[in-house]
Amino acid sequence: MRPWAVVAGKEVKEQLRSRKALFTLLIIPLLTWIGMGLMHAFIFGSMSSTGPLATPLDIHLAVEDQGPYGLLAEQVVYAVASNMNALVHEVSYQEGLKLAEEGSTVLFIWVPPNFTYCLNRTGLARLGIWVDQTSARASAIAHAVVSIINSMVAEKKVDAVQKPIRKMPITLVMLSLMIMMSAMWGPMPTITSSFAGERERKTLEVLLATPVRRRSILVGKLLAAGFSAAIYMSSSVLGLAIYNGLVSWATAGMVGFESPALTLEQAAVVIAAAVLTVILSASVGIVISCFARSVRDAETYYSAIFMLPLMLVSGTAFMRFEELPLVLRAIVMAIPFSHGVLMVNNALIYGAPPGALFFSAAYMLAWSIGALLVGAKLFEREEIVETRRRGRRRWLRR
Amino acid sequence: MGLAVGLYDVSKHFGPVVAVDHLTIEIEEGEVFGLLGPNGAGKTTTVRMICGLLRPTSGRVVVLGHEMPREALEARRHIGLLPQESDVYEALTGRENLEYFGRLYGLEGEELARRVEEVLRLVGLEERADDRAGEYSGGMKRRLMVARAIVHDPELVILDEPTMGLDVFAVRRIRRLVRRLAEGGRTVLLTTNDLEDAERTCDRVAIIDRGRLIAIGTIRELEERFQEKGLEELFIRLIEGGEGEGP
Repeated sequence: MRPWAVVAGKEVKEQLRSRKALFTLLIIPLLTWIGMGLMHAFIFGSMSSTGPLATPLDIHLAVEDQGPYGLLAEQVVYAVASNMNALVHEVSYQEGLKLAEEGSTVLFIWVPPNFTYCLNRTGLARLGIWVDQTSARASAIAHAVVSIINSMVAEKKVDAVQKPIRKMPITLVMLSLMIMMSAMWGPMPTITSSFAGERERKTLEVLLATPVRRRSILVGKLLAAGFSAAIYMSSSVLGLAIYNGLVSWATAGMVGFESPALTLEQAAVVIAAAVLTVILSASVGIVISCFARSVRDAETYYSAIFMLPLMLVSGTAFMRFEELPLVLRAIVMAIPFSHGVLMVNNALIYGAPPGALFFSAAYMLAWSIGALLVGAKLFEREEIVETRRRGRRRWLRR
Repeated sequence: MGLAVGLYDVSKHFGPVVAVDHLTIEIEEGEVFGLLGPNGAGKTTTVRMICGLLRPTSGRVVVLGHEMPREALEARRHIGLLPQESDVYEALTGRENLEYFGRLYGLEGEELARRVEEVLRLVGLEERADDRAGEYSGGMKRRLMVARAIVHDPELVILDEPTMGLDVFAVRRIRRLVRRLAEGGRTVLLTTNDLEDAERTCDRVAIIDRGRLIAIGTIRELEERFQEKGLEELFIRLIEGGEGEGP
């Protein structure tokens, strides 16, 4: 056998015997693409009019101009809506206005009575558009309607007077990102180095041989993880405050610009959501750490396990939850990490009742306690000491 | 003299692998007992069962009058363990390492400080006690681990391959320490591959192979019984020849 083949053979054999390599090479790419595929399939599938995941969006239209341009505008709205799987409900101006004020629609388009007249007389007319900025599809439809009408009226120009039904606070993206990062990176260094690190350093056996209950060791390590998470959270909150200050200063005096500063109540919800996410992440981290033989192994498993939920949670963060198809909503609701983001969205945008916030908090807490109980059970196993594999993978030994 | 450790017909299986096979050994209080055997003989598994870290598949393990692993928490107060493969907390100083384990064994205040000083002196690390353990040499780390095993003044000290990979000076120091522990009335269970370790320090030895007891007694008794001079020759003959007096 040639030397390069000998070297290659040994390398491949090592890789096949490494659980970590298996995760990195096989599971992570699979999870990444499955997560991405699920997200895109559901998001774009929900916008299609005929696909299996089609989720119609209700929008409202009031046409008060029966002139040619009024009828043109109406046809454009129907065409765009049909293309983006939206159902157009024709209403009167008063009805539409009421729906918009109540927040019961994501898009209300009003073609005023003088639309054709203004275009013919002055070459300029206006459409009234009330749009929920948290709905990507509603915003896209509004934008497309104005663009297409403008492209069809030749030398004339149509303006849209846009009024937000709900605003998308500029901090939302940052906050959601912070919540997700808290889940991923907050307590990770401490948790992964807790048991896996002790095992890697060969100090776990001597620690377990002390007259200390394993439960006490577990609680001690969890508290230490909480400490590092608290530092992480403090620095995140401070960073966010600086961010808020900078944006407020830079945008001071801008007309129609929502202040990015959080109220005390909103800040409390954000911090509570982040703390719960960190607790949950720490609890799941302990379960992972019970299986991993080294810190690097633990980090790999941690990344792999968080990959899919994070893909889905990111969808929750950046698009209107109600617009996701029912199946995806159910999946997202089942994933405990989603609830941190949902708490923030509900508090900052939708003004959901406190019950919804408490449900999310309780759900995350229940998962944390469940994961801790599983971790405690796993920590009692004797395999936690016996790190060598015995009698396994004989098929790879030849 | 009472019994420090009693293993009665103990077996331990890991799936299809039999690590310990019907092992019966009694270790008297105050003796230095050597558990000898080639690599993979089942020494570490036996030690782990004695500490209550592993549950025997069958048989009884009694340590200082406590049934293991049922009464492991109580028994462990009186056991000091130096595992075969171990390390220290490198970010902590030598003293902090010892204080941490002292506290886990219930020592506090002046008693803790006194014991830490004592063991540091005993292993010759008093001058480097406040340096980070990560800066220690391999020999110093091993000495610190020995100190860690005895910081709570245990009745039974289990040293699993304590001299592995150490230079001649460190080996001599640890051998001397083992004898001093025995002189102080402590029971020492020494598992080793190093037959010189056993010859120089052990009152009695047991030779095991593939989890089975091959021979047990003082070195002189074994030499007479098997008509062989020197522990090394005896060991090789028993292991390679498959002779012995096992069950």
